[in-house]
This record gives sequence, C-alpha cells and structure tokens, in this order.
Amino acid sequence: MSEGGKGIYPVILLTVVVAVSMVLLTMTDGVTKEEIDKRKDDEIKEMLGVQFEDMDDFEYYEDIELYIIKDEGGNTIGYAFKAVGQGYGGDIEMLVGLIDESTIKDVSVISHGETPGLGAKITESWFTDQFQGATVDDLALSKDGGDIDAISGATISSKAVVDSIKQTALEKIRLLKEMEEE
Amino acid sequence: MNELVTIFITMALVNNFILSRFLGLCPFFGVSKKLSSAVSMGLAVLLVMLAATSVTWAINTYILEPFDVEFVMIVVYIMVIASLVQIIEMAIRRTNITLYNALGIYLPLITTNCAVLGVALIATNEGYGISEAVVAALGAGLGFALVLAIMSGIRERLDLADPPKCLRGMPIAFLVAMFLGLAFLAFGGMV
Amino acid sequence: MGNGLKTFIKGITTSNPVFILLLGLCPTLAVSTSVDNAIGMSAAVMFVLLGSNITISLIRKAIPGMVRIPVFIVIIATFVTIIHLMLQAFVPSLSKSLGIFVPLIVVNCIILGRAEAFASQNSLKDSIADAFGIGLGFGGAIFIISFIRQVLGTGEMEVFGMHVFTVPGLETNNMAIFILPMGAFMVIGLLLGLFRHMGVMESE
Repeated sequence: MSEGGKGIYPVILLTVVVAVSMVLLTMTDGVTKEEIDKRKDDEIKEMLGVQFEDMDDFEYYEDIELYIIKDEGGNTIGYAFKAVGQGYGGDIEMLVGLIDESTIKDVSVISHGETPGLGAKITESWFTDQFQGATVDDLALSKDGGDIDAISGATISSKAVVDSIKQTALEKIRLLKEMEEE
Repeated sequence: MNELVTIFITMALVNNFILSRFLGLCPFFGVSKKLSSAVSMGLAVLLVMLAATSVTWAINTYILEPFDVEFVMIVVYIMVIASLVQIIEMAIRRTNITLYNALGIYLPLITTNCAVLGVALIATNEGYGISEAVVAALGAGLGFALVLAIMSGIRERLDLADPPKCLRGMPIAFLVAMFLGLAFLAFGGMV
Repeated sequence: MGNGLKTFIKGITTSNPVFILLLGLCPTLAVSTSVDNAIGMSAAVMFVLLGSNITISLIRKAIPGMVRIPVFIVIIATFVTIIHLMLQAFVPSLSKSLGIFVPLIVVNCIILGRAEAFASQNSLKDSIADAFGIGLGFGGAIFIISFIRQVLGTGEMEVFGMHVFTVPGLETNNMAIFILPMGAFMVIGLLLGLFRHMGVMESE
C-alpha cells in the first residue's frame, strides 16, 4: 500500500477505478439486458398461456398497452391487460383476460402486498374464478348489487380488485374501439 | 395519507428492519449497554437513512431511469451513502464533540449498515414517490432506533443475570432477539 | 505453498466469518430459509470475494491510503452488480428468492473486511487462498443453519427441486417457527452456544 496520497494522484486513481468499473458494468449490461427483458416476457407469456389454453401467440399494442391473443390460425381469441388497484398494502397488480369486448375470461394476481390470511386471499381460485365469464359493465361486489362475493374481513382488498378491473377494462375497450375506427 | 401511514407502520413495526428483515444486525448486536449511546446511534442512522433515501430517489428518478442506466445503481447508491456519512460525520464533529466521541468508530460504520442501503433499495424497488420514500426512511429509522434502545436496556439487565457460561454474550443476545421478534409479530395485526 | 494452505484453512475454521468473526450476519440469517438459497448466496458471495480480493491484491501497491475505502467500495460494488445482473438474466428464480440481499452483498462486512485486512496487504496467491477459505467458511456456516431450519421447519429436505429425504413424523408436524425470522435467531444463538460449550470457540 503506497503511503502519502498528496496532490492529485488519489483523485486520479479513484477516477480511473470508477471509469473501469463503468466500462465493465456497461459491458455486463449489454450482455444481460436482452436476457432480463426476455425473462419478463416469458413470465407474461406463461400467465397468458394459463388463461388462454388455445393461445399460440400474442401481439402487444404498445400505445394502449393491450395484449391481443391469437390462436394457431392467427385469429384473435381474446385480449389481456394489466390492471393495478390500490389495495390495503399497496399496489395490487393483476393480469385480466377478456374473451371479447364485454366479457372477462379470467383474472390472475401478479403481485400484491395484502395481509396474509385476509386480503391475500385474492389470489385464491375461489375468488378469482368468480370473474370468469363476468360482464365488464355489470362488474361489482355483491353488496353493491353485483355478483362478486368479497373476502370476509377484506372488503378493501376485494373492492380494490373489482374497481380497478372494471375501470381499466372499460378504458382499454374504449381505446381499442378508437384504434379500430382509425 | 392513509397509504403513507401504512408504509410508516409497516416499515417501523410490522416489517421491522432488524427483527423481521434482518437488516442492520451488526450495530444491533454490537450496541453498547448504555441506553444513551444506543439512542444516539439509532438517531444517527435515522438521519443518514432520510438523507440517503431522498438523494438516491432523486438520482434514480432524474438520472438513472431517464437515461436507462439502472445498472450502475449499486455503485452510485453506495457512493452516495459513503459520502453522506462522511458529511454527517464532519458535521457532528464540528457541532457536538461529545456525541462524536461517544459514537466513535460506529459512525463511519454506518456506511456498511445494510439497513441504510436496504431502505434506499426498497424504496426504489417499490416505486415509491418522494413522500412515500421519505416516510419509509422515517419508519425504518425509527423502528431501528426503537429496537436498538430496547436491546440496550435488556442487555443492561442481562449483565446482572447469570446465564450458562457458553451462552454468555452473543448467543444469549440472539435468543433475546428471537423473543423480541416474537413480540413484534403481534404488530402484524395492525395492517 | 504452506502459507496459502494455512490461510485457506484459517478462513474456514479459526477465522470463520460467521461463527467466529460474527460478520455478514444479515444475509446469513435472511437467506437461510432453504438450502437452495444458501448455496446460491454462497456462490454469489464467493464470486464477489474472489473478484475483489484478486483485484485489490493486484493493485494494492498503487492505492494511496487516503482513498482506499472508496476504491475498495467501487471495486466491490462493481463485482456485486455483475453477479446481480448475471443472476437476473440467467438464474431468475434464485435472483427472486435472494431479493435485495444480492445487491446488499456490497455492504457485507465480510468482503470489505477482507479487502482491508488481507487483500490490500498480501500477495495475490495468499489473497486468493483467503477468498476461497473465507468464502467456504461462509458457505459452510450458512449451509448448516439453513439445513437445520429447512429440515425442522418443513420436515423434509429438498435441494434444487430434488427430494432428498423426509423426516418421518416431522413432515406433518413441522415446526414452522424455524422458517420465520425468529427461528433464525434461535438457531444461530443455540449453535453459537453449542460451539462454545464444545470448546470450539471461547466463551466471553
């Protein structure tokens, strides 16, 4: 270890070390970035595949952030989008599948911060299955006149899910119709 | 507002940094048996956390994300923390020399305190805005200080007790932490 | 050669980073919920330790005392970022389970400690031996703790998806407390007490 460190030498050394570090990191980023993005795509693809068994491929409309699900023949068999609700413990991120422009195919919860044993039950199939085949326009909790039973003791989580799905679905459908009219 | 309170309580109690997330263990177990030093340390860490979280949030929002260079996050964040600790160290030395001497070597060690880098990373990963990030740091720091204070009180009493020879010191400290953690589990019902 | 071997063995036993030096406790307790995580974390730490020890030892004569800590930190942070990105890209499941503890390797006192106490003052050969020894010492410690926690907490041992054995009677009556944070404190506290009682370590 050299002693001293007077003058500008220490600063130069530190700058050199930082520069070399940046170069190495940029190289690593170059190598890994594609893989990392691909991993994220694979995740979505897997979730979509679970919802749409006949799915062969999908298209992603970036401007309106909507997935178009296609089967082997290239026909559109449905749509999917991400909905984010404000739950008790933060964001609830969901993947919502649509059979057509008015009916829901299925709902999968991607991530959430709800309380285990209460709000966390939104991931259980008995809850999400209720959305299968539901109409977007009529979507509501039973206590609000709809067909979705809330999780007892977790009304806020349940309502967050229902509200965000309905609002986002209505918006996506509207945007899709606008796009088709162009 | 509701969300901010939830974040605060979660960071401070429900997911306490020491007892639940395992962050900041080194100072926790090395903490002196004097309540005053423990509290000073806790507050110093809180100060660094607040400063670090705000600065790293700004850097991430205005530089890292827009320029798509998030891969330098780790290097940049730790350098920010190291610099902030230096600055705070100099500030304490100039304004309160007794405090500076009391904290001794633990002050520069705040740089390697996983809790500080931890809260900055958590705020980034959760996508918090600036107010949420600051509240998170506040909660994390206060929770950290609280557990540190409790631990120092317990260790003071432990000195007067007579544990088996092989358990004296660190082993029994860990066991105490276990019971503290158990107690803090109760906070889970708050959110 | 004798010196290198001695250094290597010291890292595993008398200078064991977790049980003797009591460093790197945060990741040790946090990721010891399963053996998979333990092995993954040890590998990551070993990578960073080797990288930083080698680099610092190579340039040790050129580093002025004044800036040595920032230089160490940048070097360590670089290696941590590299392994973090690599894991995200090629072993995403491990990256998810280890979570923020991979980036937190940068403040793992073990690595900075070795840089300061050893690599900056010793030859390349010895620094490599030290990295291997300390890395294995860390890996061994975290393996023991996670093994205990996983077996008692879930009643069975599964590594990388392969079922290794089940403890009869324990699988249905597993003691979930071991998987929870307080279980970690309990296991390491009792282990330390045991080691001291056995005379392997000195009591206070």
